[in-house]
Amino acid sequence: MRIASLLLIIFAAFFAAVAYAETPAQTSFAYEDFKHLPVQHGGRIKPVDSFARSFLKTITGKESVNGLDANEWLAETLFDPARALNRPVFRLFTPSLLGLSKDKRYFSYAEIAPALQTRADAINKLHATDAKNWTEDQHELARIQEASILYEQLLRSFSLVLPLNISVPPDLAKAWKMDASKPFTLREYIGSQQDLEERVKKIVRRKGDDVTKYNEKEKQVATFAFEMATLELSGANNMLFRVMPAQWDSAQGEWFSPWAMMQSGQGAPATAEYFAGWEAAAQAYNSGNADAWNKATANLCAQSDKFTDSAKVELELAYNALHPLNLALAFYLLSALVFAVHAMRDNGNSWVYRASAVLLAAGATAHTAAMLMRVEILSRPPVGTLYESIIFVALVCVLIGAGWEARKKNGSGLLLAAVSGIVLLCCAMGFASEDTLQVLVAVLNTNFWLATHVLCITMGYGWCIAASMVAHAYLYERAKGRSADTLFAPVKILSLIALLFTAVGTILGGIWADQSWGRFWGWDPKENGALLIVLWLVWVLHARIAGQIDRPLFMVGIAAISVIVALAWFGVNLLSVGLHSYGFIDGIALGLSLFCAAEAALIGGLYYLGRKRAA
Amino acid sequence: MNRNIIILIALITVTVLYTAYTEKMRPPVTDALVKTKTLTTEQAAPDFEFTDIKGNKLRLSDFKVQADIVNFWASWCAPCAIEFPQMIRLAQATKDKSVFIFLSWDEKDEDIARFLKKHAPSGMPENIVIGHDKSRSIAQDLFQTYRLPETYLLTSRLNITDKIIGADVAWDGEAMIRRIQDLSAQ
Repeated sequence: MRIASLLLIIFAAFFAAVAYAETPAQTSFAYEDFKHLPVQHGGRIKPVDSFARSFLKTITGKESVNGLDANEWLAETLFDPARALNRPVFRLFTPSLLGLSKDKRYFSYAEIAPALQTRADAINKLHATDAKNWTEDQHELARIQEASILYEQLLRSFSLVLPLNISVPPDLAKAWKMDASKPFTLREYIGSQQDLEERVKKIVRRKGDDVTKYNEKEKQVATFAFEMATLELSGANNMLFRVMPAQWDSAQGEWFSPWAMMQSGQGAPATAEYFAGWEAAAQAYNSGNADAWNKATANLCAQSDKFTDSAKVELELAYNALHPLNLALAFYLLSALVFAVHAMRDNGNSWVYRASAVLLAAGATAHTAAMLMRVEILSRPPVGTLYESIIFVALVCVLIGAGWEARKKNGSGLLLAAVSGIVLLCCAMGFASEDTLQVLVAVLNTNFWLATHVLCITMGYGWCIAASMVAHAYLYERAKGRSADTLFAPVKILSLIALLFTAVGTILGGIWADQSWGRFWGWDPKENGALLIVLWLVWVLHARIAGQIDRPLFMVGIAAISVIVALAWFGVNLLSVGLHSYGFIDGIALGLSLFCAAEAALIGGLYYLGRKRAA
Repeated sequence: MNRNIIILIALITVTVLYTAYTEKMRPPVTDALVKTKTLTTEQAAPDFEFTDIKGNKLRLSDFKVQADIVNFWASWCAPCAIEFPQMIRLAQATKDKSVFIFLSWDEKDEDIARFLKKHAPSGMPENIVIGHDKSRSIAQDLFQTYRLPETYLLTSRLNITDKIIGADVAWDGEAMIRRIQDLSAQ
């Protein structure tokens, strides 16, 4: 950590000296081509736009900073690191942890790096302990450190080709036939590195390692060699910004950062030209030459088509720009609002009702489009992460509600669809920062089982939630003293379908487990959760069929399936044990507890009120 | 109820069809974007002009009959000195099938001459060409070679098939001789 910080400070000093006093005229720089460029990140190829958005969101919590959008910010960070160092992009929740002012929320790397430096020992000790036992402040400290390390990597990504403010000893410049009109860069030096090493070795062999015995020229060579070695070290292990496509089988599809490409010898004629394009773009940006930048990025964009599926890149850019899930949420909200107006006016199948239905349909369309786009972008079924399961279940609920509404046309399905869409999408948005359209952990990365077991079980969750919501409506109506017997049959059907999907999904999960882990059933928390849903539904349905419980109690049982589903869906991840513990867990313990308590109170309260009314 | 059963059957059918479709879809990165779009195994070598140590102007495309071995080296590069004698033996063993183009980063001709005298005292076979790449423009700008030694193996049609980094290769071994013979036939 200390060495890294020291290197960065030296590195920053070299680049700061060549930073331009005037801000490049950002408005004249076009980013349309730049944002199309492919980069390998998170195990897949994505456009720079997605990389920039997710990275900026990680450190700032938003997709723009100081009037710069994510792509503009990334270009500055990559190609003008001296300026980027001073841009306040780190969002700190507890600045006092680093001894920084509480009056600000955003800090620059130049501010947090020295502060992290002073806490290096504490951070190192912290990493030696189990993260499960960390306090909130310790988690925050670790988060800042992690973000700063990644940011450092970004800052150095193109240090290879950016002009250096170092004067090359005249003897070396002459020997290497350096072009004085071209800026001196690390790339220029790398090719002469071995020669320089030989020269230094010769000096050391002749005069030992005591610099005071060297003549002026020898001192210049030794100093230059030290400076260059330091700068080269700052590029070592720079792996983050992988824009150079794999060319050799040995790379196994892995792309390389510019530094890694050079250091690992993975270059080839096809990447030489592409790299030259990046170099031109970097130098154009760094020198504030908008025309050259625009030309260089356009050229790069044209070249990148050789390495990527441009249709997929376009689709992902459209997904990033449209935010179709936000659009769907907005439509659901509007639909619910318009429906509320309709319910207040209570005038049957009015235009207000139809407007509400149209808005719901628009929301469902945007929602479905979002899921389909994700399937195409990721080349896998739509549910692979907990976040994705929420948005998928939301869609299932919306479609169930819409289907019901199409049949009944009394507003109840519309309300079910809009409310479930709003609640679940809001819930998903809370965890949207986890969503980077990522590739799955190995255990999940099989399209067959994702499309069968996972979709089946998550559809089961959707039917369970729909059944539970209608059961809530039944209990509410009964608590108000109104008859809700018409809801009994739909709840029964919904719960039977839920049982079908969850039971089949659970069995399919067992078969997958048998193939992957060599056993059908291992009493893993997630397996137990799925089984619990099935058993609960079987129990409640049989109890009603056998006449052991009356309709209201049956409805209580079905309404409570929401709690069982929540525990099976989110709760098992909190245990952090078992083979299924790959979901996010931060911040859901409290929410889940509150939800369970609120549901218990609501269902219990409604049942009690209904019983009192009936009595 | 019959309608519900039909809907369920339709759902299951859609799932099965979808599964069959997704199984055909390649996962990201590993297949679709690399194997089909990028030249992971073979790509045309850029044609370049160079000057040999006798002062002749030559082009890579002048050697389009045999397998070509393009090696970047310098007299001050220790691994280059290790592999050079082995490569001479390989050149002798594949005399009619290959051409070796050694491109040196050395600035001074006398450094090259001294190196050759030391590491090839009995001369070199005719299928070896020693050339200059003083500015490193061939190595760096065309081949992205920044460290020495690096060697590219080319077919007789001048398509690159292999890149060998460093000297940790048995250049004069049976496997390499067979490889060069194979390349000359391609």
